[in-house]
Amino acid sequence: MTSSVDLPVAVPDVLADEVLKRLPFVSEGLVASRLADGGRRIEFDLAPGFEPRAAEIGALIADVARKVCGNHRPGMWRTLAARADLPGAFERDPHPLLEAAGELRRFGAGRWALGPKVTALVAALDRRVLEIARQYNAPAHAFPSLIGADVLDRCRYFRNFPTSLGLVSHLREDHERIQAFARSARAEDGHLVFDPASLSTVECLLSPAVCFHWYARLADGALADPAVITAVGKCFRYESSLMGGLERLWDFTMREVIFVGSAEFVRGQRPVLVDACVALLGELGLAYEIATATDPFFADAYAAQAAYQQGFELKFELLLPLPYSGRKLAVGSVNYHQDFFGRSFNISAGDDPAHTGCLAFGLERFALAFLAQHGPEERHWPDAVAADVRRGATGGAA
Amino acid sequence: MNDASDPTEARVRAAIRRALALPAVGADDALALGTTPGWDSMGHMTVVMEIESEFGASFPAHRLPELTDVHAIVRALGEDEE
Repeated sequence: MTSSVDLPVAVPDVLADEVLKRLPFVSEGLVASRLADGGRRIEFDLAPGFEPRAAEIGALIADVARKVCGNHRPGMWRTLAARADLPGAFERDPHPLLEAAGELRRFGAGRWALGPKVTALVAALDRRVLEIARQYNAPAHAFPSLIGADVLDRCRYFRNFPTSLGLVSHLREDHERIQAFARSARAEDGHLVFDPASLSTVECLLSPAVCFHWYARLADGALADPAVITAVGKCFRYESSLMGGLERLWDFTMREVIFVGSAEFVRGQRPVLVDACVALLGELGLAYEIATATDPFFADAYAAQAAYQQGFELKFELLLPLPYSGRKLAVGSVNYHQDFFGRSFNISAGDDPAHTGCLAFGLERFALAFLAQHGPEERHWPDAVAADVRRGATGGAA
Repeated sequence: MNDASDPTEARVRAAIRRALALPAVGADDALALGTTPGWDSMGHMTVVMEIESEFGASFPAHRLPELTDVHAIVRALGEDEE
């Protein structure tokens, strides 16, 4: 059933995606939504059984649109660097080609298995990002995929990004409940059927970013000198019906280079990192745009947080065109958090709260954009990447 | 004119006090981003939006980093009217 809701103020083109990508979280009954009448109306499709709630869901949709657009300040996007020329004429969606070649296999929404060539490409791209970390002599650290609720609370993650959270539980230490679970739990229609009363409280969540662990590691301490480290890890962000292919995974691999120190030190790294990214993307022969951006804040927090982030230009995204869709995919970002994490985790640098920043790459997205622009055939890739991938795909035996 | 008798400055001070839920704000208190309790990166937009609501103004994004204390806000409001 298709319904619609009129909006009091038209959604500007520049915010259309920001509004639409928040709507899947409005209701479990919302199947699809789109802007109409130049952004003055939103049409939406409801699943069977949700029709009686159309007016209520429409009101919630209008509320989300109002909150996202409420503090919009035009003219705030800036491009720092760009290269428009695609490396070739390849325009097909690489997903079906890679699936046919056994290089991709979908397990479920946002869950994909990678074959040897794509795995090797991910590793090859990671090594190139690691070269940037090496320029700083950044030691490698490793962090768990689980993150404490207390850490995310200090990051204000619950307020700003609640929709992406993955809560971790386990069975309570209760023999009878565990016995009951063992007897009755089963998967049905892709879901675990069990008694929720057997679950523990939530102590940990699936980590949505790598750098939070490092700030927690430095908490309640003072830095004598700036600290630069690197780490790679699995990150988890639930994105409802938006998850599809390697563009938007539920769990993905993130490589970060993390900077902690004085304001001058961290701020000073941003142009250096942008230059390093320009060099990296150029070496890979990719078309790109590096532009100011905002994080995907929850609708209730969006107006204030996005405006602040844009006004202070705290986030630069590395956007790679996907010829098959005409859209651009953010494969990485250069982020400056000012003293937010320094204050939140009580980390000082000199007499002041430490400032932090990071360079972050989503490696599967990076691989997808590479494959979308170059195509899946190695003969069309830059020689160095093709050779690197051939070595990696055979475990270094080639 | 940016002294305490300036009605614009008094309204700015009152708006900041409301935005940050400060108990009281004196005419000479230095109110600034990074030093006033609650006026940090998270509180900055609360301050800005309260000022905009008070004066019916709307600051473009590139001006947000300038609005770091009472006098800067008063100056920006003056320029907004020009």
